[in-house]
Amino acid sequence: MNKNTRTGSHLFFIEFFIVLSFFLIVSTVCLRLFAASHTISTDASLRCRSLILQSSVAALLQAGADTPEKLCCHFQGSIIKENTVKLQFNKELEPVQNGEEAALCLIVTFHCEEMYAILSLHSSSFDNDMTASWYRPMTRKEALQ
Amino acid sequence: MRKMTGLSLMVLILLSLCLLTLSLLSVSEAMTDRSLSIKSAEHTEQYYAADLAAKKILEDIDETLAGILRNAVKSNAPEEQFYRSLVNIKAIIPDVSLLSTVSTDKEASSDQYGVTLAFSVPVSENQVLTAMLMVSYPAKDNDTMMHILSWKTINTQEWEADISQKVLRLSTASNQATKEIKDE
Repeated sequence: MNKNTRTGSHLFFIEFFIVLSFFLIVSTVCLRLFAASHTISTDASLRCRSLILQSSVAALLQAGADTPEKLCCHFQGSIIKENTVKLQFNKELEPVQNGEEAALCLIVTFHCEEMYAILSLHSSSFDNDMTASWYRPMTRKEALQ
Repeated sequence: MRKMTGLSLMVLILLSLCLLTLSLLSVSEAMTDRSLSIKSAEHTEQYYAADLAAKKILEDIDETLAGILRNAVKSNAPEEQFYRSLVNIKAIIPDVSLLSTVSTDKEASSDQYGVTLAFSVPVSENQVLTAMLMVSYPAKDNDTMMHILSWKTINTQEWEADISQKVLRLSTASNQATKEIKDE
């Protein structure tokens, strides 16, 4: 009778050990998968947001903000250096305030005479360059000069 | 006691499998999202590259028109000379095609009176950026020689929906079953 109880408790502990080790292995794998999924998802979201930001700046350039000064009027806290404008944003795509860490940095390099600008976007996980151009048709006066 | 042995392990295995499936699905969805955003970024980049190429063609057209205007102004009938010279624009800029010549209807509005030009720039394998321009003689100093009528991307390939479905073909399945029975 005692032997049977001992064997039963042995079996129970063996099973408990197997269950625990199996749970540990599976939970580790699942945790890593969920963490990877979260990282990838955050990256995808940031890429989408950055694309929207780049397209918006390109649209602004085409709509008439074709100089660094004009573009700066639309974004608070932007920094002008010669023919470049540096725009910094947080993850919510809001302009970065003093001391806040920037998640996205967009550098717009103007080539005013050739009527285009290079939009270089930098983040911790990816970089993306895009060229936006604008056009002003020639008037009769300009043509005859 | 013995009957209950292994039940907790079975339940745990089942739950673990469910959890694993969920985590794999989550990773798969995140990967799809990321590949979609990368494709979207690539397409936007391609569009703006095509846009830049199209703007360069616009500049070429403007410069050509300025040359034509300068020559036309010297003649006695500058407007007629301007429109007559536009017929040969394709020889100067091969990318551009002349869609219509000048309208003879003098009562037409300024948007309709002029010469229509068109050109297209490839955006990707399946898309082109097409632009239509109206060129008209600038009578005043601040008048422009052309204005854009349309600026849009067009799909060059027709989209075909995949409506095929993988279904069980009963005739084939029954034939295979009878073959197997015969073989046995």
